[in-house]
Amino acid sequence: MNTEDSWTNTVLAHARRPFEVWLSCDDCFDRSDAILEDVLDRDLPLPADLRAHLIGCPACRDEMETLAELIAADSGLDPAEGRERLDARIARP
Amino acid sequence: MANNAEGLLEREDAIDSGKPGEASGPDVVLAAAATEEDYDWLGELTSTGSGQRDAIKRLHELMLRAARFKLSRMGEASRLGHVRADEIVQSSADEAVVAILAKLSTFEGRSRFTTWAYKFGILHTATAVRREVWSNTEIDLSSIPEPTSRLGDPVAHVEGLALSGALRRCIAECLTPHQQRILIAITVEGIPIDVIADRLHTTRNTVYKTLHEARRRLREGLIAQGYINTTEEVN
Ligand SMILES: [Zn+2]
Repeated sequence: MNTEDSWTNTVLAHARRPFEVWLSCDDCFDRSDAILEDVLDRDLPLPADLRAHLIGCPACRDEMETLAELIAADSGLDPAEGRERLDARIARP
Repeated sequence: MANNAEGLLEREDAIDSGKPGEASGPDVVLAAAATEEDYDWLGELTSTGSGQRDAIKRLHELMLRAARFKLSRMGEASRLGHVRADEIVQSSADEAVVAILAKLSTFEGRSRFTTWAYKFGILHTATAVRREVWSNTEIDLSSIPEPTSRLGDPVAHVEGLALSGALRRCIAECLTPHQQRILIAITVEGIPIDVIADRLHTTRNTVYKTLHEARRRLREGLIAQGYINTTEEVN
């Protein structure tokens, strides 16, 4: 429900997120496959700009999480595991 | 399904690599990590005849898998009904194959070919589902909606009053009306960024840039007034 309290909390939460390093949706898309394999196959951290974009852009994050799930499924893993490993890299640099 | 893949074969002019009648895949140099399978995909997709036909068919099957997988993970897709959902899967797979063929020369082997290809299937499906789900919802992007009422703990309300007032003041003073509307539409109303882009006849990039700038200005304003600090990080 769009009450003033939930409104304030939601907008504030967005303003507090570390979204500021700029990256466009197109650039995020272009780099997402290679960077995701770095995360899932080589346990490397996300580049700062891509991490900031995934924190700030719900659509790109949603699509990259699905890609992580699909790659995990193809590798015979639980799809949730792929998603969790990506989310962990988004949560901390 | 097979018909869709066959139809795509007639769009060989869309393939972004090599000359007609000439296989250019093997001449391409990919990143060091590229595998034989990556070279095979590229070589077959840029070849001619039955090799190319088979590769496009396999690519279409891969895109169907990505589309079905994405659809199964979108809660809102349950509102589409089986028939419409299947239509979206088919059309998204078709569009993804066309997009991949048009961008083949940008594949550098920095990921596996299948990973690179999957992202097209996921993007096209996600965008199509979101567009369809929101298609019957009127979205007014010309005015800024007001919160409806105050609910919950009265003490918390009093404590939050100053913050809420500062936030609303900051939004009104620091952001343009367009930035205000985009910020509220995405963060509060949860309208997907690509749906907003559709309605405004612009691109997802442009809408994200507006959101980014709005949030940046808002954050600066709230930091200047001491309502949030620079080290806060909430995911
Ligand atoms: Zn994005």
